[in-house]
Amino acid sequence: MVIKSKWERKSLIGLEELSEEEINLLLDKAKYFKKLKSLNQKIPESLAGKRIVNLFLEPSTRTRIAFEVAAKGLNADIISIAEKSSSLTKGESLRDTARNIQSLGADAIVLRHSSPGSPLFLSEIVEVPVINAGDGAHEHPSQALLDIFTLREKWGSLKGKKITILGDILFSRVARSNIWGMLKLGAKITLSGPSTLVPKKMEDWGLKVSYNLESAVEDADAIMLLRIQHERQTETHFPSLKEYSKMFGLREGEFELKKNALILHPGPINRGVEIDSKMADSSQSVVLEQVSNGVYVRMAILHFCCNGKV
Amino acid sequence: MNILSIKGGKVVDTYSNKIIQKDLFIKNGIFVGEKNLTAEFNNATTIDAADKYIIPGLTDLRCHLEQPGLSFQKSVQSISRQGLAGGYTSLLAMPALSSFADNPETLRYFKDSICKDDMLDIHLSGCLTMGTKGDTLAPIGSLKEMGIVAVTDCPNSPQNNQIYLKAVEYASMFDLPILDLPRDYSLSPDASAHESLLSYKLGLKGSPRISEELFVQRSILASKYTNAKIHLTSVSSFGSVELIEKAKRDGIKITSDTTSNHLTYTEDLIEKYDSMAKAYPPFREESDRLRLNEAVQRDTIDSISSGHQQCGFNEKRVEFDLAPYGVLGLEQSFVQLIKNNGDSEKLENSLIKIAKKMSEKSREILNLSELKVSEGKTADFFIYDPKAKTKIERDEESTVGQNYPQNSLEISGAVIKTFVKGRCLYDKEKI
Repeated sequence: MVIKSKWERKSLIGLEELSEEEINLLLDKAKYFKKLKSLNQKIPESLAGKRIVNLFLEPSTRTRIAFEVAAKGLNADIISIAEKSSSLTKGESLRDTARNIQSLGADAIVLRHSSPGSPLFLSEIVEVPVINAGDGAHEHPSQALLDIFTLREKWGSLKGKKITILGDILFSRVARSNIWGMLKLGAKITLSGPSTLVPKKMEDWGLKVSYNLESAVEDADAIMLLRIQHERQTETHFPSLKEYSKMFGLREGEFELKKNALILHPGPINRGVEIDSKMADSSQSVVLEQVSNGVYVRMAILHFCCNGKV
Repeated sequence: MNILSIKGGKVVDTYSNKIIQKDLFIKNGIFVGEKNLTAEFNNATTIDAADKYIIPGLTDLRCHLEQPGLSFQKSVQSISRQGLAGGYTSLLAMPALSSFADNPETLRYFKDSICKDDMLDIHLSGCLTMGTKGDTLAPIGSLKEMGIVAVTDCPNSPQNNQIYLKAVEYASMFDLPILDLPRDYSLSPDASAHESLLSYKLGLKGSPRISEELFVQRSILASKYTNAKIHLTSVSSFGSVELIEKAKRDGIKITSDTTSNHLTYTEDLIEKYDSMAKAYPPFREESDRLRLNEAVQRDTIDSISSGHQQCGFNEKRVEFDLAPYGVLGLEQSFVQLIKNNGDSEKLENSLIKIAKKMSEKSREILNLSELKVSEGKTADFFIYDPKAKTKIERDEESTVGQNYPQNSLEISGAVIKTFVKGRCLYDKEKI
């Protein structure tokens, strides 16, 4: 595989900052790793001797594990620190925690944090690469890259494809990263969901907002569902999960979807709320492929960020 | 005896809207007329102010005195230095000091502990409600006896309309101006930015314009209902300007200010999550900034405040949503609003307009005595040199607040000397 572009970044903060070429560079590398794995060939141990620290200050299962698997796949050492076991619970600032981690020999920090902008903040403090594994409602670049990887694998290119992102856009970092990435790759995006979670003002981003689910999904080439984070929104942003499900839930037989339309979900799925089980498990669903692709995408991210200019 | 003469300066008179070149003579803190000069002025210290402007001292309507992590005394001293460097000779301190100005004993303590030597005049405000919590009325009458000149819960605003209305009604009995920083918290919970496409992109919780505008309208209606004098401080949204404009046309006793930083900056400052530029109200969009500037020109907005709030480096340099609100304003407020691009007519019009807002109008709102550069008046003034430069840079090593909204800034024109009661308390050359 010939890779034409160059990677010159230290950290990965978000897809906003990446060019189309850089996104494709990462995806091509992920494709390469996936191919080696499928051929049962050995993946180069490009991170041997590197120490990566997963600093996860918010609950996470799949992202944290995917980074662990990815790092081990490249033969790096990986240490995971959760909020409860970090000194942040003793009042230490993120700045001091990160500096200490760097002093202990970390070669990269993978950060999950509830504060938007915290990976950028950290990248200005420490010298080692910082990889954003989700910062509040800002960005979740590795998730968006794996979503885009999955679609690109199916379609070859996203150019001109219609993608509908449905659900809680307002609080979703996954939505934001996907919007940045997909627009850069030439897709046409429609956002849909309750008006309280999908501000009309977002149309100024160069996309469409629709509160009519039927028209939002009928000619979509892919529908990306977002998890309804009901813990914090039921009281003020929509009346109940029952009503959400009735108005915006994707249920088999209720909508005319394109025959080959793909269904994506970053997980964890609230079955019966944003999607019913039949559709989640249907042949159009690529949910499990997203999960396995996530490992290769994160291998590519770690490979590029930890090896400097490539 | 303190005797001084200032020669050749151009004196800005905001009351007559004129600038006249004349020599000034000061004795014991008071301007003396030329016809009353005595022989002792032959040996007076003389300052050459040729090509420079003499401007009445500025009065700030919204300044937060306390900097967490710094002793109250040190915090007040540093604010006084910053104010003097910006041409201020007095300011109104918001009531959240090291404890709340909601009882006479605390006020007495603050009055005693604020060192008055070599400082600008600090006027105290009292709380409108106990602890600025918005639950119970503060003893406003007793606070007035201790010398407060205004009441406010700033940076909070009573959220309960009944309490607010009663507080307004009660305070107006003592002829005290009521200051409100309008904000409906229920519409902006945990907000750390202006609600806009940018806040959506950044994933920050936004404070929508309506959160301010609802409370602007509340104050307008409260003023109409009670006939009380209410001053809205730090308005930031173009919708607020429209509401105030209409209220003024209807003859309602409402006055307002915006901050010099809101007249200068927009939300663009936080594009990269620069927490030093996290202000309340948040910097909004260009359409707001332009409308606020227009409102200043048309006198819909009566005055301009600094909104000055010191925050320590360690306190402020954290994750954006966890950082406290607050930006510095005193040092650069005046100079950054002056149109100083080589056109002397524009420069002088701008000096008159801005000085009027920041000196004459601020004092009028607070019922303070007039400051004029004229015979018999207290010699509180500053000298502005349009040819000098004001340079501001964040110094991360400093213990006092460095939360300037911009990392570094150079402005044409500078305050070069500030006098309080005839004494030069700031001299740019000696810094």
